[in-house]
Amino acid sequence: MAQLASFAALEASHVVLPPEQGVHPDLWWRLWGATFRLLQPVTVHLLAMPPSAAGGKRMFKALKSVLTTRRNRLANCRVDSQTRVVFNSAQLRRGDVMGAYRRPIAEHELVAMLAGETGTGAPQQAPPPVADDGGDHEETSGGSGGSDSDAESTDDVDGVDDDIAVGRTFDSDGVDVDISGEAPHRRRCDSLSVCITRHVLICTKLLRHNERTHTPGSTGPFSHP
Amino acid sequence: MSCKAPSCSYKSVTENATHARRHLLSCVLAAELYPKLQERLAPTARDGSVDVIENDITLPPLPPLPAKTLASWRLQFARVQLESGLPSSTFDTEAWRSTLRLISGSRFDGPGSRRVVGRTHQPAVQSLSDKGASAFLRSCDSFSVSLDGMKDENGAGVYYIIAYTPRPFQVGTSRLGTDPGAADILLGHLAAGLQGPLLAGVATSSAVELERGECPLSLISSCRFLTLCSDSPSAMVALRTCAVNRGMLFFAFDCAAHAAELVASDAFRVPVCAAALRGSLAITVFFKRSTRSKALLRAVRAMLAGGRRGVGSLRSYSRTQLAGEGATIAAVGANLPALRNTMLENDHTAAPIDIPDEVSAAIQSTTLSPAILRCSPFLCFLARLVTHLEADAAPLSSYAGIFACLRAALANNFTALTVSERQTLQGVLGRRFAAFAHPMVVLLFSWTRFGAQCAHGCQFFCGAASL
Repeated sequence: MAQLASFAALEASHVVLPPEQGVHPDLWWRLWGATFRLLQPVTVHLLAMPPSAAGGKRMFKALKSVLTTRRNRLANCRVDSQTRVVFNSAQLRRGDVMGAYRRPIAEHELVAMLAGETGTGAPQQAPPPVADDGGDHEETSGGSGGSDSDAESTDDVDGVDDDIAVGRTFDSDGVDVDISGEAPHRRRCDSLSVCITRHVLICTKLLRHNERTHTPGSTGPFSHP
Repeated sequence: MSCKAPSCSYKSVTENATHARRHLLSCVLAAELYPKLQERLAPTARDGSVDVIENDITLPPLPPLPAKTLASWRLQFARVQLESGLPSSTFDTEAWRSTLRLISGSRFDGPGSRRVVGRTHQPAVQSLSDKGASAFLRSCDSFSVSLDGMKDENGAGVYYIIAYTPRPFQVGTSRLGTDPGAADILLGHLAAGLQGPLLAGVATSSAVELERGECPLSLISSCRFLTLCSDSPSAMVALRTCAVNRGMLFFAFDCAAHAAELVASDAFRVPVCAAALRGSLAITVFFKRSTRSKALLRAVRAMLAGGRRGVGSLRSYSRTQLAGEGATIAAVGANLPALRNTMLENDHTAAPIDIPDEVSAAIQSTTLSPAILRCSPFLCFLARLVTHLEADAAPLSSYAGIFACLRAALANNFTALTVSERQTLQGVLGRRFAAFAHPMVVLLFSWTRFGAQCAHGCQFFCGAASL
C-alpha cells in the first residue's frame, strides 16, 4: 500500500517518471518500475494479459480454413493437428507484440475529450438504473438494490450519492476545492483525474455490489469477504 | 499391393498399378530401401527413351540428391503446405509434380502423395510446431487462459483452450460429444487440456499452493496461469466461478470485447440508435442484394461525384457483431443524397425496379438523416474501441480505462445525443462493466500511468480489490 501511494505521489509530480505513450504499460513497469520492488513483479505479470478472448475467435478462422464445406470428412485428430499447426505457427512468426504496441488513436481521442471538457449541460449525475435489458444474453446482469454496510458501497449510484462517495473517499468536501489555486494545466489534469476517478468509482461500486449479489459463495484469493 | 519399405503404411486397396507406381516415385522410405527405384520407374517415352524433354530445354542434367536431403526438402515443403492450411492433396497431381520436376531439374517433385503428407509429414510438422511453441511458452512469465467453443462444418461442438502470453497459442482441444456443456465438465476438460505437452514446466493450477497458505502475490510472480477470460453464457460464468473457487486460477473476468459488444447491443435499444439502425439495415440489405439497384446506385453516386472522389459504397457487417453496425449506419448517412437521387432516377426509367415500401419510406424519411447524424459519432467511436480491445497487445488495464473514460466522456461529449440518451448510455456502460469485470482490472488501471492520474483513488481501488 505504501508503494502504491508512493507511485501515486510520483505520478502527481508529472515529471519524475518517463511517459508511457510510447511503450506498453507492461514494458514501462519492466523498464522503470524497479523503484517499486513489491509492485513490479505483480504488475509485469498482470498487465501483459489481454482484456479479451479474441484469440479464440481467431482460432475459429483457422479451423474454418482447415475444415471447409468441400473438405469436411477429415478425422478429428487430423483437423485438430493441422489447426494447431496453422494457428501456432502464425503466432510464432509474429514480431514482438508488446514492443510494437502504441496507444491507439481512439484512446488518445478519448483522453483529449476528457481533458478538454469544460462545457456545461452535461449529465452531472450517474444515470438511473436502466430497465431490464430484454434478457437475450445469458450473462449475469448488474443490478442495484440490496444493503451494504461499508461506506464505499452505498446501494444506489445516483449522482448525488456519487459526489458524496467521492468526497468521502477522498476525505474532502469536494475535489474542486483542492485544485482551485493550481495552475491551469494542472487544474485540467486534475479535472481529468477527478472525472475518471469518479466514473471508475461508480463502476467499481457496481462491480462490488454485483459480485456480492451474484456470487455469494466465491472464495477465490481475490474475492470479497 | 503395399509398399515394402518397413515403416511406410501405403497400401493400394484397389490394386491400381498407376497409383502404386506414383507412390513409389514419391516415397522417401522406398527410395532409401531401393536406391535405383526412381531411375527404374522414371517416366519413359514410347520408344523407351527417358521422358526429360522439358528438363533438356531449361536446365542441364543435375546430379541426384542424397536421400536425406530429398527427405528434408519434402518435409520442409509439407511444413509450409500444412502451415498455410492447404489440404494434403494439393500437390498430389501430375501437373504439380511435373512442374516441380521442371523447375528443380528432375530432382524434386513435391512432398509426396496425400497419404505421405497426412500420415508421415503431418505428425513431423506438428512435432516441430509444438517444439517451437513449447520453447516460446517456457520463456514467458505468466499466462491467461480462455475456453471458447463453436460448431464446426459438420455441426460437432469443439472447444479450444487458448493460452495468452499475450500472444495467443492453442494448447488444447476438447470435444464434449454427448456430454452436456456443464461447468464441472468444462472445467475437467480445461484442466485436462492444460496438461498437454506444450505446457511442460508451467504451473497450470494454484490450488495446492493456496491450500498450503502461500500468499497469492508471491504466486503471481512465478510462471503460472493467472486468469481466466471467457465469453458470457451461463455455463462459462459458472466455469469461471468454479475455477476461481477451486483455486485453479486467481481471478476471472468476462471478455472486454464481448462486454463492449453488449454495450453496443444495449445502445441500439436507445430510440434514436434503434431508428437509425432499422432504416440503415433496410436500405443496406436491399441495395446489397438487388444487383440492378446496386448498379443504379453506383451510377448515381459516380454522377454526383462528378469525377471527384465521392462517398464510399454501402457496407454490411455480420448481424451478430453489433459494434460494427456503427460503420453501416455511417455509410448509409453518407449515401443518403445518392439514395434519394436513385429513387428519382428509378421513377423515370422505362422498367423501374420494384423497391419495397419499407426501403422507400426509410430513404424518404425526414427523421432518418438526423438520427444517423446524432448517433453515428458515438457508435463509430465505440466500434473503434472494440477493435482496440480485441487486439492481443491491449493491456488488461485498458478494460477499465476504456469503459470508465468513455462513460466519463459521455458527460460533455457526443452532445448530438440528448442528456437522457447519454445518461442511458452511461448506465449501460456502468452496468456491463460491473457485471463483467473484476476489481483486479480496476486496480491494474490505477497502476498504469494513465490510470494513476487518478492518484487519489488508489486507496479506494485497493480496498475494492481486497488485495
